[in-house]
Amino acid sequence: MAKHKAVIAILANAGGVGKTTLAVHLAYELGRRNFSVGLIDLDPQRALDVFCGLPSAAAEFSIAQVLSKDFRGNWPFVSAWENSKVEVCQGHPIMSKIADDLVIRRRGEYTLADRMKNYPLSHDVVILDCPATLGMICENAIAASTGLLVPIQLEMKSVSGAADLVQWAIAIADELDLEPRPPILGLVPSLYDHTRAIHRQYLQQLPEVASQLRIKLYPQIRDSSEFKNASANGLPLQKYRPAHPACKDFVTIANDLVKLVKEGKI
Amino acid sequence: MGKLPTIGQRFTGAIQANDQAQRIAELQSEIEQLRSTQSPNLEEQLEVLRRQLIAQSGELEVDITLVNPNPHQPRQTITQESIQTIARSLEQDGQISPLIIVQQGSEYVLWDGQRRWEAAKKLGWKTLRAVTAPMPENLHRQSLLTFIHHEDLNPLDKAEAIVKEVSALTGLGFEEISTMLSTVLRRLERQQQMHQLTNLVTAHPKLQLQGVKALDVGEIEEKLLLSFLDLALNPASMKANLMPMLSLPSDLKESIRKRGLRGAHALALAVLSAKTLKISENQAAKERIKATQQVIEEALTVSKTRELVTQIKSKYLKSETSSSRDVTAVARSIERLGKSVLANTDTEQLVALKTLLQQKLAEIESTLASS
Repeated sequence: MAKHKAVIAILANAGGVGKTTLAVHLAYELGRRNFSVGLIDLDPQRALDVFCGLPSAAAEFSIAQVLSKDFRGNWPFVSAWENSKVEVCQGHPIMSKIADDLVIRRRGEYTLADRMKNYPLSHDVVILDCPATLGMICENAIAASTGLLVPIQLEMKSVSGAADLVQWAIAIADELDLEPRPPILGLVPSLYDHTRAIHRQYLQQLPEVASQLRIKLYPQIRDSSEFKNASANGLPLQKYRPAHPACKDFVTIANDLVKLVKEGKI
Repeated sequence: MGKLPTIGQRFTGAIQANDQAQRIAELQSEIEQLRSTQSPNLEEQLEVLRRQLIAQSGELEVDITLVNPNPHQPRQTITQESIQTIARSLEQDGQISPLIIVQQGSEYVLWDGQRRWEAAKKLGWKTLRAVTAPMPENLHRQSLLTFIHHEDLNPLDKAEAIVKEVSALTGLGFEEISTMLSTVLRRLERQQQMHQLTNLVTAHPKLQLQGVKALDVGEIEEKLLLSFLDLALNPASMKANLMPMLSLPSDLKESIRKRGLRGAHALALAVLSAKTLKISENQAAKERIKATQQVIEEALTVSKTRELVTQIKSKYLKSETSSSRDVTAVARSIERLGKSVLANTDTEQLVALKTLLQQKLAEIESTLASS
């Protein structure tokens, strides 16, 4: 249904700021809008398995196989949840070693992009869940993506990580000579707890920063223990507690992406 | 307890990097724009005219709402980007050269400076500096002459502007101009009078009239040829290079206007038609748009573009057979095998030849039977 394939990399330069939560819930939300979604777990910690209730995959049935030299196009996608249009390409701890191999491989930074070009995926939208450390794997994600989303927790560690990330992403797109450069589609304040003064204060300051960066600022995603309960059960919140108010927190981003994809802008 | 530090300063580096990246992108597009729109020759001519006009009547400051665009502006392709570029330059450096306008009642018509005028409107400027020129007898003709010999006007705009002018002079429609031009040129070619016509392109109007009369063509044909020659255009090159632009499919026209596709590339791509590929119009358009995309993205040369077109064609016309050079050569050698040659050849060789020919004959028959 989509004219162009959108590949969205979810990047953050800090751990535990809600990357996988954003990836999973956004994927589910897009699936509900009748988009077929491919979720790819690039993180060696393979958190996506937990969120999707999947048993760990062997390396040859994971993204590690896709990036290996002898990959021939058999993408190891498995269905994420019952009755959903979301499929997952699972991660594997060996990815940390593969990252080292890619450094010396020819076109190492473009490996994932090359795979997607030579063995095209059928999904309307592909979401890349990236590791927290900026390195070879994230460079692959940027080279393969048509847009980036940056979750940002409203605490100093995540905020300064996001600042570095933006700068790094611009430099990488330049170094890799990407044409067109994948734009940063938005900052997504995550794990927002309105009872904390620092969260409230930094949320207030964020619009100014975003406007100076000319990057869109999405509405915040609240922190809720129900996210943890849902992921413990291998489900997205929308399936686990459909009536929970936090389910609505992903609607604006999903709507926006649907619009961009339909207009062929990403 | 200390105050919470703010997050703004953390982003200083990111904001700088972002601004820098944007500025670089802008500059690059500006350079491209300048390269593609500036012809030193035209700019020089306009500069001379501007100076003369300033000396004659001085500059004035005009209310931009009193300025009307030239309805006959032959440069139909004015992209928003190019206006944006000019707007930026106006904002940064101010207006460098005055507009050239022509008084018309209490208002003005633009003669030169459409993009500056549009950019100024965008910026919310109220006035621009301008010099006034006396009303030319025929504004369209004046601007047309300036523009058709301006190399950067794309061939499609050029062709349209010329045909419009020729149509006004001769009363012929586009189809008629096209057919009549082809017929008369074919006749002149047969009568080997083409070089005479070509020699007239740069001649004085009087000589042009005499020359065309000497060619002994029909009355309307004469008018047609003279209207091209009067614009210092070679009718033959008009027919070969510019007329085909007008019958290009709309997707290619759009690519010329909006995406800078060159004329020769467009003509090569036009081969990908429903008729040639023996497919539906829709399918053909799809193939063409895809190929156009590739040509623009990879900046293919004309010959590479033709190769691509041939490749795509062969995808659709696989089953077509063609005459083989090998077969022609063999047939010729066999014909040359006269009786005298055969008489002087030993029997063994003749028997071998006979067997070979019989074998080949059987193969030919079975090929013919299956096709």
